[in-house]
Amino acid sequence: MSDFYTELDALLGDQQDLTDIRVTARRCWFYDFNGYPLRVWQGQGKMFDSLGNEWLGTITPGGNDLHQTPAIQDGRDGTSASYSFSLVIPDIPGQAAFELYDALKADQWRVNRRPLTCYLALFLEGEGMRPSTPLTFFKELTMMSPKFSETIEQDNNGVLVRKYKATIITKDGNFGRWNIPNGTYADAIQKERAKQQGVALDRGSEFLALLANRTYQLPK
Amino acid sequence: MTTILDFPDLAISGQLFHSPGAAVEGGFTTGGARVISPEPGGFAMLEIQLAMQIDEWANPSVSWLLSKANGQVFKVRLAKTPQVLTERQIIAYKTQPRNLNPIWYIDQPINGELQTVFTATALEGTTTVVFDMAQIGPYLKPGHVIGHHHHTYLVDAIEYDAAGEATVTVSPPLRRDIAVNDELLFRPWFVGTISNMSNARQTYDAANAGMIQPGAFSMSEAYV
Repeated sequence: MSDFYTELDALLGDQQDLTDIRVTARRCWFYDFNGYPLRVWQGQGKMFDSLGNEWLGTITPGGNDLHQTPAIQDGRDGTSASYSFSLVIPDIPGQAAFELYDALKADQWRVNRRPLTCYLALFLEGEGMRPSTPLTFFKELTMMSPKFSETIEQDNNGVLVRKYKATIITKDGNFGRWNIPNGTYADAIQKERAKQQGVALDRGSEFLALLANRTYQLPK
Repeated sequence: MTTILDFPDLAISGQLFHSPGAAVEGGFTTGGARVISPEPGGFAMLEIQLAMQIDEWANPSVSWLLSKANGQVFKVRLAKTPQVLTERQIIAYKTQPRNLNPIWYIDQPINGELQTVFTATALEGTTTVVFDMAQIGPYLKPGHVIGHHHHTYLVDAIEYDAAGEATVTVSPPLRRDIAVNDELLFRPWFVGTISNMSNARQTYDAANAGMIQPGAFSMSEAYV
C-alpha cells in the first residue's frame, strides 16, 4: 500500500466518532500540455509536493474557483463519458496568461491525446502547504479537444477584466476501445478468444458481471 | 508585469493584519446546518482604516489611491500597532502597564525598531521558523507579527528554549524560502491588492467640512 493510504488508515485509525477524524485530502490536476505542463490544485496558494513540484491554487482570495472540474466516476467497458474541464488560464510568472493560451490554441497537438492526471494530496496538521505524504494517483484522462473563449467583463470597480478561458474535453481509458484488435475485455469475448487458443473454458472474466449479457454492434 | 506601488504615507486610525486562512463548508457531518472546518492554505489580509484626511485639498493622495483598483499591487509597511513588537513596548512591559500610541502613520518611523536573524532554514510552504531572541528577550507573543522579505506572518504559537532561540509557528504558510542569517523584521512589509475598492470609495464626500474620511480598505495578499 502506498504511503498515502497507510497514512490515511493511521488517521482514520480507531476513531469512533466522525467528529474526531480530521483528514484533509485535496485534488491536484496535472495538465501535461506538450511544452507547457501545468499543475494546479484545488485550494488557495502554492502547494509543494514531496518531489518539490509546485502546484498553483485555483481558488482566489474571494473564494471563486477558477478551475471547474466534474465529478469523476469509474469507467465501465462500453461507456466513454466525456469530462469537460475549464480553467481561466493563470498568470504564471515568466509566462504571461496570453502566451500559454495562445500556444495551446495555435498548436492543438500540445493538447490532443495528452494525459490529464488527477492526484490526491493529504495534508496533515502543521504541514502547511508542503505535505510530506507523497501524492497518490487518482485518475488519468486523455485530453481530446480544447475550446477557447475570451471575454471582457466589467467588475464592480469599473475595471475591464479580460479573461482567457480554455475548456478541455477529456475521456477516460475506455475511449476508442473498439479500435483494438480482438475487441474488449469482456466475458463472452474472453471465452471466444480462449476457444481459439484451444482452451475449453476460461472463466477468468466472469466477474465482469455488468457486461455479461450485453450485445455490441460494431460499425462495419 | 505588475509594478509594485508604495502605499501613500497617510495617517491611519486602524490597521489589522490577519490570516483568515481557508475553510470548507460541511467538513464534519455532525448534523448541523452550516458547519465549516479549516482547510490548508489561505491568504493573509491587511485591513487599513485611514484617519480623517486633513490634507486632501493640497495632496489628493486618497483620490489617487481610490483609482488603483485594477489589480495594482501595493507595498505597505505595517504601522506601529500593538501587533508590531518594538523596543518601546518591551520597556513598557517593564515600567508601565500600557504603551498607548493614538495616531498611526503608514511610514512613521519607530523608535527602537528591533531586528534579529533566522537561525534555521525553512522552505516555502512550511509553517515553522526558528530565530534568535537571546538579545531581545521573550517578549514576542502569539498575535504579534514578524516579517521576512516582503511578507508578513502572524505568530500563531511560540516556544523559547534556554539559549533564547524562538521556534514559531506562523500563519499563513511561508511564501519564500528562509536561509540562515536572513533578516527578520518585527515591523514587516505587506504586499497586496485592494479588494474592496467600491466600499472604500463611498465616503469621498463633503460630510466632514472639507476633510475626507475614506472607508476601510481591505487588502488581500499578492503572492506570486
